[in-house]
Amino acid sequence: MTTLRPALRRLRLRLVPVPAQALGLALLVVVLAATLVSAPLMVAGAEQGAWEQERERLGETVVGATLGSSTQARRLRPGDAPVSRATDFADAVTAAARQAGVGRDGLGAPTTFTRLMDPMAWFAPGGAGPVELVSLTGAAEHVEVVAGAADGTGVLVPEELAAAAGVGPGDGLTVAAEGSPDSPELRVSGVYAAPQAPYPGFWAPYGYLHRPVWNPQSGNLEYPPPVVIAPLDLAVSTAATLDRDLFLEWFLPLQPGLPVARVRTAVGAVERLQVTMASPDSAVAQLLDEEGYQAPVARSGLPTVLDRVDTTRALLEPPVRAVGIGGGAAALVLVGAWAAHRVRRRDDELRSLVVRGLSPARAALHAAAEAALPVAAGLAAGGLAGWALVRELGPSTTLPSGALPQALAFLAAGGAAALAVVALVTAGLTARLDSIGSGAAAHLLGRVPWLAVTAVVTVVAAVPLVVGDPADRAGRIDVLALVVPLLVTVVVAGALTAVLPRLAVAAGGRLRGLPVGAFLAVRRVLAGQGAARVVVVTTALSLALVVYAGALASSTARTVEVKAAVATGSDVVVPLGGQGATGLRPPDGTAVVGTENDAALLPGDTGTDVLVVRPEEVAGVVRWDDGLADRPLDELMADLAAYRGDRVPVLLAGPVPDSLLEATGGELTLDFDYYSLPVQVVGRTAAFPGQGSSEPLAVADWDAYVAALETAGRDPALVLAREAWVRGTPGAALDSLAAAGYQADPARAVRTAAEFAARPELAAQTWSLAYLRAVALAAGVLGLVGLAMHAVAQQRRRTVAALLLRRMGLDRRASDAASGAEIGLLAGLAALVAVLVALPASALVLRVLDPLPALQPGAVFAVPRAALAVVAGGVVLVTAVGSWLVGRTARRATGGQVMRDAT
Amino acid sequence: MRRDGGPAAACEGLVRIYWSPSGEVHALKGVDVVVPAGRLTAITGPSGSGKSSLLRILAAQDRPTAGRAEVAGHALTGLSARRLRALRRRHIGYVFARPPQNLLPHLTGREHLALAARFRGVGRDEAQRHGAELLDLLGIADRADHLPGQLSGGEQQRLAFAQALIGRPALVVADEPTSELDSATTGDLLAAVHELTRTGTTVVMATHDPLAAGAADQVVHLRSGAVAHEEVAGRRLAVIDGDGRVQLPEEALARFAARRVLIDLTADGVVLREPS
Repeated sequence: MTTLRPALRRLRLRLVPVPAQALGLALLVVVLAATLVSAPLMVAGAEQGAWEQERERLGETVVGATLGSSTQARRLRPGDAPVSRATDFADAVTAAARQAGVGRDGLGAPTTFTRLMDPMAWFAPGGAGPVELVSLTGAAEHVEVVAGAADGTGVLVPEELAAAAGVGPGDGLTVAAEGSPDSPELRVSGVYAAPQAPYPGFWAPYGYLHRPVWNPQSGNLEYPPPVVIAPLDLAVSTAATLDRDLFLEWFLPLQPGLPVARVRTAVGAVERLQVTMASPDSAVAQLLDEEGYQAPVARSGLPTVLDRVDTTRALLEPPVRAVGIGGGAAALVLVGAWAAHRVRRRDDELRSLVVRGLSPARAALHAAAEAALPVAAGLAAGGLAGWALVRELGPSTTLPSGALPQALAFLAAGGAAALAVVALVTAGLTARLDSIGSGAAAHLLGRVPWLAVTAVVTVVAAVPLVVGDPADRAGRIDVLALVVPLLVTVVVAGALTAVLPRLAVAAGGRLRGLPVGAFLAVRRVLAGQGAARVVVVTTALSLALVVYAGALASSTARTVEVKAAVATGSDVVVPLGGQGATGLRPPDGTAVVGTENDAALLPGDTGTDVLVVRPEEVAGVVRWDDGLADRPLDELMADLAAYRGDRVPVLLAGPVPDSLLEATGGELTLDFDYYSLPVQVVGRTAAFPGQGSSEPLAVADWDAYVAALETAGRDPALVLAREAWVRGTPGAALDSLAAAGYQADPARAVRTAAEFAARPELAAQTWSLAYLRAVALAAGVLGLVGLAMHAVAQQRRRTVAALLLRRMGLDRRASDAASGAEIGLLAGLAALVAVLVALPASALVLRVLDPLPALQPGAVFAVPRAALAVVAGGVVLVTAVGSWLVGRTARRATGGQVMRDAT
Repeated sequence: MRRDGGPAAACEGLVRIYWSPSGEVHALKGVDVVVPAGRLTAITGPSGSGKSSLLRILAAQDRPTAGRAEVAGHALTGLSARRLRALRRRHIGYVFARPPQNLLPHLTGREHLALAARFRGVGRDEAQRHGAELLDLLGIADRADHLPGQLSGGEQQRLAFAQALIGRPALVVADEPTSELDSATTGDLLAAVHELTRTGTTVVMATHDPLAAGAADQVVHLRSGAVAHEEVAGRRLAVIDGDGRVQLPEEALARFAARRVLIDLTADGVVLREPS
């Protein structure tokens, strides 16, 4: 123990001679490591997050693989009954999937689904009706059996069929098909309750078996035939007996919770399965050959989904990397500042060693050795923090393990760079200590007007942002967009701090009227030179980054929301068949609108689209942003409905010159080549929900528009394409529309706002800016911590002066007030510069960051209230904490020691 | 110490010019000084007289702009920064004016000596032996395991001397080592330094302190970057440089208001007289 303690002491002196300094470095390295590690993890997390988002949006059916075939032979030989070997066919495909090892690559075992190609009917003493005979692996486990039980030889019938046919468990259900002499009897093993919309996961792909459809001829909803669930063998034998062919479908679900890297292998697994089945030796190929079955064709939305995921990653990677590297570089600068601070704090020690022959290289080596332990601790803590933050706050909680080696490489590089920076800065400052006076180069550099040079560089760098076309940049966040606002901040903060001493001269004797504490604080701030100026500039820089990132992130979120609302009208847009026009009443929360494209607005011949709405339906359905017009939506709709002239009242959305409206008094014409409609503009908006392009949109009142069409001899039902705008989810929207008698147009896809917001460009930009905001927040914290540390260092420098002031009668409260006011003034000054520069800068940059410039409206600015609150809170906090630290430092210095150490 | 009988340091026609934004500053204007080995030499003079510049050159921290400076047998002119550092490391000890400047707050006295010995390339055993001798000689052996904060100002400066002396450098340069000490402590320290010179150590120190100057074997008085006079064994000597220039003492200079003299060479000396 007696030998161990000195050895430990020597070790501590060598590695951590000044623990407080080591702690400061460790904290800086935590930020450095967290920033560096988070960049590759963020990219990997975004890739995974994009995949999870797509999987949730599209559902299991799309991301899984489906193989489709039928027993209908490509060629038929006399006496052939290919359907009888359908079970072998199903087994062969299942075996091929097993042989291809699809389970190894993330796909589940195939479920087999069969359905008779032609209708079948049931007969009973009480009646008859159509029936759908299906077999589906696992179906019996995913229905509620209300009577009897599923077994391997009988069928499950729905409650409605059981009641209509008067059958129950153990009874027989007779079925027949047109043209078939046989009427096999199916033994009923159980009765089940048919699944109801919205259909649960298992039944989602097969919802069409249960969902009613609108019959335009009868005007009623038509329910599909009851679904009888049979084991595969029984379904095949029944089809064979009835001489009917079967549709066969195998669904290979994607295993849940797969990381995106394994999802990629699943694409390969599907291809491998195709190859396995095509092999001449395979049972599938032999059956295809012998029975002439249709070769199973695989279809999966997975490649398309992965393309979108890759696009998201490709768009996100450059800005995230730029932010990560920028943040890392900034952290390294702070590490350099720490090294310089270390030299200054230990100036006496270093001078005493330099006069004894300490070389810069050796000093650098000592510094690096001292820094090794804090750097290692900081790397470990920062790496973990970065990983945890990206995992908890990033796009996905699952971080692909493939990103780990790159993250560790970044971490190691960051650690090496931190040590190198400490060594280089120490070597440089030691060499300066070792030289007398300053050299010619230092004189030359000292004469350079750095502020003016930075201002010129800023102006030159800002030109592309000011004159750039948003369409050329397509929303890319590049280095220029990141650096220019920071350069502007440096110039403004630098100029302001340069002016402060002149203000002190101008203020002259007027300051003497202030209370002592306030007087000291104001004089200290106004006389701030050197380090004080640097602190104001760096704090302004870090806070500007917080405001700038906050403004960009909140504005982008608002822009995405507004564009989604404009592009898709409402949550769900369901294109309707033409029959939807006749006398139906849309369900609550739904607006039925008409669209007509390719009109020309006269005079001016401006290409214009037309949206026809019923004003009373629109409110509550569209997602309106107040920034779209200078009046509320209700007022605009009321104006549309209240017009009583002989023209069609319209709201004009998008880029139409005001001069056109002023010259015509708003009386324009919509020209459709074969006919034209006179319109009266009753309001203007920047954009309107449903405006899917950059062309202007005329929003017309339904009744007036239809009347004008009829006057022009046109059939509104033929001219207007109709769509329903519905709030809620697509499934619920389709169900409610079907219940109300509307039928979706199968030729046109349902669109959703969520789908719009999930576009790779938007997701990538949203995540990039969220990352920028996180890094900026860390920078802001460091900036404020730096300010507090500067205040403490100033107090140490002023120890003698402070003691003398106290002995001259300055009480402790006034002294503390002066320190607090000084910190508050410095922080407030920095925050003021940050806000005054960052808000206009973000508004300027936002214009060229529009992720979808082809869609109206342009990028919308949102005041970053949260970021401003954070900055204000930070200023208050640093003032309070800094004052406390300064006060504590002052109280720790004893008068005797201070005077003894004073020169 | 030098064992060849030569001086520990010698300067001839030493000129040092600094460049500053406001122009050139001529700190030394042809200084001739010889620092004899095994003696205590004091350099005195008012602020701005060139004491610090001369001291830096003697401590091999700086090179002269012109002239010749030789320290521990090495001419400084043309010496690279690396060689200059090596010279400092092996042959020169240095003591700052303020005790905290000389010592590291987290090392004990003994650890200071060990670190200094390592710098000088002295073996561990030799360092321990010599360190113990120095601590004894300077009267701080019982304080060897204390941190600087636990030592008095005088003890700290003694420790600083011990640190500068370990490994027996040819020259110890001290910059006003007594400026922060009271007169009793100064007396103790000077006595200890005298003991050191008796063992062959050469010490040169800049000082404003008459007590310290009085204790020196030789005093070099600088004025406006040149040697005003020297005092050796209580006698004041004017210095004549290689070109025949001599600086008169202030009181002698005051006699020649016209700044012109007649020089008479006599059998026993040179007489300067005001022209009549």
